Amino acid sequence: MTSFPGLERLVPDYVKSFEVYIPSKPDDELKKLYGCSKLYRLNNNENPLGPPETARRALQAFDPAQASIYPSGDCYHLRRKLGDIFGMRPDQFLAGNGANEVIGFAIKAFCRQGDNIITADKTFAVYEWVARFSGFEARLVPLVDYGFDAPGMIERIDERTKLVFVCNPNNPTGSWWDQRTLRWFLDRVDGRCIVVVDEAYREFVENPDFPDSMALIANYPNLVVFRTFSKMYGLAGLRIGYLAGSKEVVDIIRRTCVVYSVNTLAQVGAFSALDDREHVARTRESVSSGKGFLLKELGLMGLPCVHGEGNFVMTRLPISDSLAYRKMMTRGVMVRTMTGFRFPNWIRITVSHREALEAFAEALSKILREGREF
Amino acid sequence: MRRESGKLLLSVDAEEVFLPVVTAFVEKAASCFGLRTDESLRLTLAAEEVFIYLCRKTTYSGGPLQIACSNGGYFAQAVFSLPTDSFDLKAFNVTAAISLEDDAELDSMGLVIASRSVDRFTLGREKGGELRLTLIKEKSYPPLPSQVEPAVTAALSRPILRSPAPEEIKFISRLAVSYYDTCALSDILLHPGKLTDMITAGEYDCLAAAGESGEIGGAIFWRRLGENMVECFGPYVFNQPTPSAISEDLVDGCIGAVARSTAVGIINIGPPPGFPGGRFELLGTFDSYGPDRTSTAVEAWFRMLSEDTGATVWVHPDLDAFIRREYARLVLPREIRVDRPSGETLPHHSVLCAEFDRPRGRVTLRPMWPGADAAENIMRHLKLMKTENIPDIHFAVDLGQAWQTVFIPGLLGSGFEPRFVLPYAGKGDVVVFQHGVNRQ
Repeated sequence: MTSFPGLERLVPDYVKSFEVYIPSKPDDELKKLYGCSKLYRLNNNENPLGPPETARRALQAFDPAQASIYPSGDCYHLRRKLGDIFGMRPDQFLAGNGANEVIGFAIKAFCRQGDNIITADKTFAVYEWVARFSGFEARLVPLVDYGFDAPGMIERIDERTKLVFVCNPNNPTGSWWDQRTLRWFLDRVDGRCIVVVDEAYREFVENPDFPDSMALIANYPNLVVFRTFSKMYGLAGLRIGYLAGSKEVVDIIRRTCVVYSVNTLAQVGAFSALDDREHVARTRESVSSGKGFLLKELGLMGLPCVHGEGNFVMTRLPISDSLAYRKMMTRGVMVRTMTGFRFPNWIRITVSHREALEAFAEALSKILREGREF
Repeated sequence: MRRESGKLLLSVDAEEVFLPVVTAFVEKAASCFGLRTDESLRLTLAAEEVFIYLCRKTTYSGGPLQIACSNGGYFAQAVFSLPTDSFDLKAFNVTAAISLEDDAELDSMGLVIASRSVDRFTLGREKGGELRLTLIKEKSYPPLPSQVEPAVTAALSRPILRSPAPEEIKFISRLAVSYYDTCALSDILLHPGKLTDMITAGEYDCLAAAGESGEIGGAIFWRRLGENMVECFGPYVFNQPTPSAISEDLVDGCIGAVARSTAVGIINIGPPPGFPGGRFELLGTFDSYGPDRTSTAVEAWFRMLSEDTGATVWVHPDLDAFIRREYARLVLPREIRVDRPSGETLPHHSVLCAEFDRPRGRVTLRPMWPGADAAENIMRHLKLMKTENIPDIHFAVDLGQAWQTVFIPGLLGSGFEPRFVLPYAGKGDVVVFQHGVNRQ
């Protein structure tokens, strides 16, 4: 017998139809569950080099006594530093408890009942999730050749479209819009809605044609850029990300944000991470080398790959990705299944350090051999 | 009587004096929902039997009983709901009046009579503890004629996946019959009007692989099956070069359509030739019975829609070897807790809920309550199904509920065999047993 018979009546239909996100269990539990003594995490696109040296030192120097003091409610120092780096005003930035939180801020700020957001069908799921569990329509435009379809998205915009989310580079395909494409898109949108460009993996990109979105904000006040400290800066465990936009747009989004949601340690780590001059270059070098190794190994196994910018590679398997996940786990390698990204039978592999990638290649090769023998 | 979100609701005391109100309500509702007169009367007869039964079995008069009639597009249903505490749970067994030694009482059983009058009859207990009896009467649809003129389509170069229009759904039925033996087809394809209604009602979904000029090169169908599962049918591919990527595209499209739903797994039972099995895992086989009651082995394929986060299961020692073998084969991470009744006091009477699917000659039994008479209760149900000429008897045991282990010795001792484990199909994984009476 339920303890709350009236609960059903209180829950909106759009919440009833929504799935609970079940995160992975902690590593110690997973190792016990799958019977492996070691676990290589190649599932979350974390940086195997960890945080920059400057951030490590700042975190080590953190006085535990400070834990009793509330953090800066609006990440005061961090926003000033970001302003200095990008040549913008501090009030053009808004930090959140990971970039996921700022997605929620943006949707809450602009959408009301009957509105819609537009994004791709095969991309980072959180734009679609947040829209749907908030009761708004998520219009999904199919990728074209694994990339965001700019004309297709323009076609779907109507008077109730409030936000368009472009993941650039796209997670999980690595495809990206160059400066020309982004400008073309912003011109066609012509200020009718907010254009969010999620640049979670931007720091991994070396190609000079990649758009300078921060600079474009001056010309396109409806452009909002998301960045995170979870990927390149290795601070995923502290949960901190931010958005940047024109002052008037950020002022609106700030009204829906939760102040004090970014803890002090995260602010300290992020602030200091931006001072490191070598970390980005070292990570890019590591990713480049690791990606080369990974692509060669997957090629030897005869598996088709999709990759572009970012510290990840996607490959298609001849077996179910969820089965492959379980088999890989028994060998101590954790990958990301891609069914949830609507790429059944694909897995995404984080370009990690060589030892992890070698363990991955060995495990996958054995699994595929077993499958053929079976 | 009131109307609520497409349903007609009647709240009535469980007293026989109200029987005319109940029968009039169900008959009129069924008629308004488009059932023919004879179909409405059959649903009404079933409702009458159920209501009388409930009146006689509720523990106090004036019990709050709800009857909800709703239109499922291709069927009308009447759902009786009542709180658990007003009903003797033992009486919830469809076999409540059956003696293992005596057949005389069979015809006097209201619930059995009710089950005969409708296409689907389900007894169950909802999450909130409410008892629920569901009666479903489907509308009659003409089958495809036995000689169907081949419905021609062309080879497609760059098909796109899209939802078919209603008129295309019927065309897909004709294509399917043109290019497949009917025994390789899901029976949903054999009644095109019904299929159209099922899709319009939202019970089934469909994706078609179509060319620019409207040519249909293939299709796949799916529906929700309980809270955690999706069942898909197909893919069916028509007149395309071999090998064709359409088959894989359709499966990927179907999986993609449900990948971000609440479902955790997708099952395909008896897929057609050319099924891309590499996207699924073979769970096992079971016997399927045709209209002439001959059986054929069909395969059950499954795939998870997400990463397995592990689970705890409760297993009777007699089932331990089977379970461990299957978990090892499927590489499912489970903490297996072996459990059996160890002298603790059990209720005297167990309860099984039964889901009758008369057109398929199938009944699925599920434990609803443990009891010391578990083995005997299973035997009573087997006896009833034999009397009712139902050849295909399934029994689903939820490994997430320790108390269900009490049924295992009775199942194995009465000729049931474990056929496969369906991950996360209940509170935990579900072992599907099938009675092996025809496979000596």
